[in-house]
Amino acid sequence: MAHISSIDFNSLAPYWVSVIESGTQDDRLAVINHGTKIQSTDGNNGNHASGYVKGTARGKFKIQFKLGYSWGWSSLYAANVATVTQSTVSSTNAYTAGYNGLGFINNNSNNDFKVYSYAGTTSTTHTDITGISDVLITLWRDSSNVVYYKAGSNSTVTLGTFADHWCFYHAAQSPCAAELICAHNLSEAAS
Amino acid sequence: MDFSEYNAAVIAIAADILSWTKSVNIKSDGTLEWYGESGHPTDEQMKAKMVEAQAEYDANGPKT
Repeated sequence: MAHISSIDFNSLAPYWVSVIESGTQDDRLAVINHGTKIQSTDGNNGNHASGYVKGTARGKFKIQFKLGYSWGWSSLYAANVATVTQSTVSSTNAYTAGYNGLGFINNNSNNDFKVYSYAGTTSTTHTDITGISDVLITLWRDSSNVVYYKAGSNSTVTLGTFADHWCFYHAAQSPCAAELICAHNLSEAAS
Repeated sequence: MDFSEYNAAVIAIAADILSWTKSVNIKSDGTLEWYGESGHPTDEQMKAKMVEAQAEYDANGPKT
């Protein structure tokens, strides 16, 4: 079978890779549910596990995920792959000059769910609402590079037009979690 | 004020002692990150609780 484009390589998949466990490797940090859920349960600002979603996204993609709802910020970020070193995970990669990124964060201590887009180091807040628990978030990019997200039954939100080659990651603040439900590239029809 | 000498879990305990139950962290420059919230403890109040917080952390680890 011939691949129709480069997106077939390093395709997105709904599990966590390049996991970095800080401070401990015991049962308080883990990737569970067949690799789909990354969690840290080592108390407030305790040791934590961060990691990357398998694969990267050029063009159309879809990711569905659920963020944890506990004291620390549960997160999922999108950052241009050029800003990332896989051996480290930092929320700041998503807002790097010259690139575009996204940030989804949620917790129960501030009781906030926030969604940002970043154009370089300038951020735009698209959502700032009461924290959410066990709510499916769908993030996707269409063939015109327009990026959208939808949380539960809320209305679809347009985040902007971003053509970046993105990776996705969870930058942890214990206790927190991020669960992947699906993650895939969406192929273009062969011409 | 620079808090970079402290473990972030100790910072969380100090804030909790001061009845601040929302998220707090340390920025890369050593200052405290309060995530845009108002009414949080001052740097001076936090510094004053660090010895107590460190002792709690040494005895019991991060607050759960």
